[in-house]
Amino acid sequence: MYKIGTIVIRVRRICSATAIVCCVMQVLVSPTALAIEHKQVMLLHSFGRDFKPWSDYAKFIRMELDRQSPWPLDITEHSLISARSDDENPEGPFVDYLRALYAKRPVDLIVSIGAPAAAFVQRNRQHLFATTPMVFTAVDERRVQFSTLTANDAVVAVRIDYLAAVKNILQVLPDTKDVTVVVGASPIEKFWKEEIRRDLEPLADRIKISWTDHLSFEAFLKLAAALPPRSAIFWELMIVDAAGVVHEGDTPLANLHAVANAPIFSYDESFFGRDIVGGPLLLVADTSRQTAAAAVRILGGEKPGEIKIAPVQFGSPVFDWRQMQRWGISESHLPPGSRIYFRNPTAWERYRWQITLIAAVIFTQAALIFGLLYEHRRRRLAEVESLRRMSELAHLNRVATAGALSASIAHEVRQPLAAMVAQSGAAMRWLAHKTPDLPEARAALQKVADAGARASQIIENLRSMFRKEAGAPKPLNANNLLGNVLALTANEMRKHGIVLDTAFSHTPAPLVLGDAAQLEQVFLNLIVNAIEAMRSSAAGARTLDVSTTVGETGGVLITVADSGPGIDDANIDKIFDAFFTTKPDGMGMGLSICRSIVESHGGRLWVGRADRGLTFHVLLPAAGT
Amino acid sequence: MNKSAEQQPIVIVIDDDLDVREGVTNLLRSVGLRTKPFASVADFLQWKVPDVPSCLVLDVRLPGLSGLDLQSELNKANIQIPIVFMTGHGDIPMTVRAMKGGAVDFLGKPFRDQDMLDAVQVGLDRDRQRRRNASDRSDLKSAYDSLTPREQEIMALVAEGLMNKQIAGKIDVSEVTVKFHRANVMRKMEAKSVADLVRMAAALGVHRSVR
Repeated sequence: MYKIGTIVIRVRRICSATAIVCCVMQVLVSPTALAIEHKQVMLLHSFGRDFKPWSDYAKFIRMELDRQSPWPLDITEHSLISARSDDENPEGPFVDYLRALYAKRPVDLIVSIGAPAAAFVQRNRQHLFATTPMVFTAVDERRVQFSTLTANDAVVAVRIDYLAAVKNILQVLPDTKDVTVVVGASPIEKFWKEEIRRDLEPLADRIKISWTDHLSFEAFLKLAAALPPRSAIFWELMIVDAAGVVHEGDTPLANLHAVANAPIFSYDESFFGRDIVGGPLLLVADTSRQTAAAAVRILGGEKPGEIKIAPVQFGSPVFDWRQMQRWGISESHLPPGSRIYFRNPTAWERYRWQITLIAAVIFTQAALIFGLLYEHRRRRLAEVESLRRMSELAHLNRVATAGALSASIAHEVRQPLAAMVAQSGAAMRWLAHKTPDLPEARAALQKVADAGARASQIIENLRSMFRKEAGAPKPLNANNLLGNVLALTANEMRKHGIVLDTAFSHTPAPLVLGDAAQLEQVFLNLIVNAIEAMRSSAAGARTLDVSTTVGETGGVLITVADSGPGIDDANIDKIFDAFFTTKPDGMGMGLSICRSIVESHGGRLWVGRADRGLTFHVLLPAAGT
Repeated sequence: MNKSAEQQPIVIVIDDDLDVREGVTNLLRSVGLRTKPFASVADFLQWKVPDVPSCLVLDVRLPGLSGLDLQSELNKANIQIPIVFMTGHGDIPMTVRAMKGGAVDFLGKPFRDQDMLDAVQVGLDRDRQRRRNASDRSDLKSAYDSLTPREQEIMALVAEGLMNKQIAGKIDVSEVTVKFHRANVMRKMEAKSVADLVRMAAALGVHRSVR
């Protein structure tokens, strides 16, 4: 169809060009030229106007005639119905009919399409248009009776090479074992069955050939649906089946194609385009063009008998891509020089630019998204890392501060201690003399007392120095302080699978008066302790509850409850003592410092037991009370 | 007890902390020791150390020159006063340095009173011993100096283990003359035996100068 369409378009273009040229010529040439004689051509069909393959030939020949003829043509068409049966009797009335029809105005040329039409004309040449030139076309050379050709006859024969056609099947589907040749029961079909059988004899040992002339077409369709594996169907002709049913047009082949479980091959291009696989085919256009050319030459006055045209043979092989896909025929199996039609353009071929563009956009976006995700992840990791570092730093800072503090306290306090030990040792020895030296002993003991007082003063000085570091107290929201600390420790909690549960009072806000850094230090200490305590408890049951409540009396209560192992009763009262620790590497300064800080804020820090673990309570006076 | 005060041992206490200084001196006084406290190394260097058995009780961390610095200076000047160190924050490198420098002991504050007294006693004993060795050596030297050159030569040869006949051969005199000089040497050096003389020669580092 595709190919035919192209040709039609091309023909139309040429026609219109010719028409313009004609018009111009008519204007330029004298008015007498208007009386151009038109030629009458009769097309004689063999079976009817719609029998394939001849219907395609008729159509193309008309088109070619229109294109090639310099004269206006009056083309009439008639069908030789009688060819469908063995009975030759109906020919008489048909001859009479034609003779009567063209009695006044004999036709200038008869074109017979197909073998029956050729045979009919040859049989009735004497009674019918004995002198009218004639072109036999679309007829296999084996069906032309060359002996009875007259000087008024020209032949455009075809040569169907059945052996080549079936060898083509074996080439593209080398496993084929069975070939069913579709052929009807009319005389011409019977003729061809015998011809084909003879032609295919060389393949007798390679394939088994079945025939359909003994079947009704309906019966054959049932058969075709269940052919054995490695079968192929060769479509010859189906005009009249064994049941006497006449099959016209495209329908039989289409019906077969609908049910057949084997690929269908044929020999003529007019079957090509939907149902058959392809191969070397007679090309409709070749024959039609030759026919039209011969016709125009005859109409122009040449003697038909002198026009010799070699039989038209198979053109180069053509294949239907869709059929190849259906039957799994690889392109590598096709004979050299094959052309493939009806190839479905792939999505890529059809939408190359769109696909490229979309792919580029998607790729760019994906790259962008990937990049952003990567950056996001990197940033998150960096944040986590920096939090971890900060947390570590805070811890180290705490340790370092406590370490430096204790070293400083130690050095300062050791001096009076050394003095006290020495003086008391001296006092004892003064008293141990044979005559105890009481004044010396008293003086030494006085020094002991002085040194003790001094030691106490040193500690007091350090405490007051420590207290001086705190800034002026400011109103602070305990929720925010806890939030800062929880953000700092979130990573650590995540690492140990600790679930955080916060219950913050928002109205009224838990406002306290104090130093943010010191209070955060307290909360950090309590939370880090809780995390460290829970590290040893069973995973999955690690929860940290942090809450703030504003009491009715105006105090703000902060609780930090862990689900760790807790602490035994003997030690629970000691945990706020300096240098008491249950941690292997602890210093025991944390909670003692915490309590000092809380008390310096006028608050209280105490510990209580929960179902599991410990709960620390920090009660701070609310700001503004 | 009434032996001249000049002969009584003395313990010098250097600590910038008054309480510690007083505590240590009082402790030492309570066992009958003479003490001399100083607040800094500079003050101590102003003072003339008496020629009696002495011991230094020294705080490591001092304003200006530290206790360890003072130890190094004394060692350089070959002044061999035993030192007992005290410190409020001793660490191992500091202890090692002090002990290598010849310290008697290294006491962390607060120290046990008896530890301090024991350390000081060890220091004073060590100083007494040093002083005795030093005075022995000076007696020996003056005795040796009283020998005539010939007697000194013969003493060296005796210390080498030569017989009278061999010595006579070496210095080309008669055996009787050798016997005479040798008896003088024994008497002047107050040597009780030949072995005693050999020990003295070794202590003095006597070698025969003429071969």
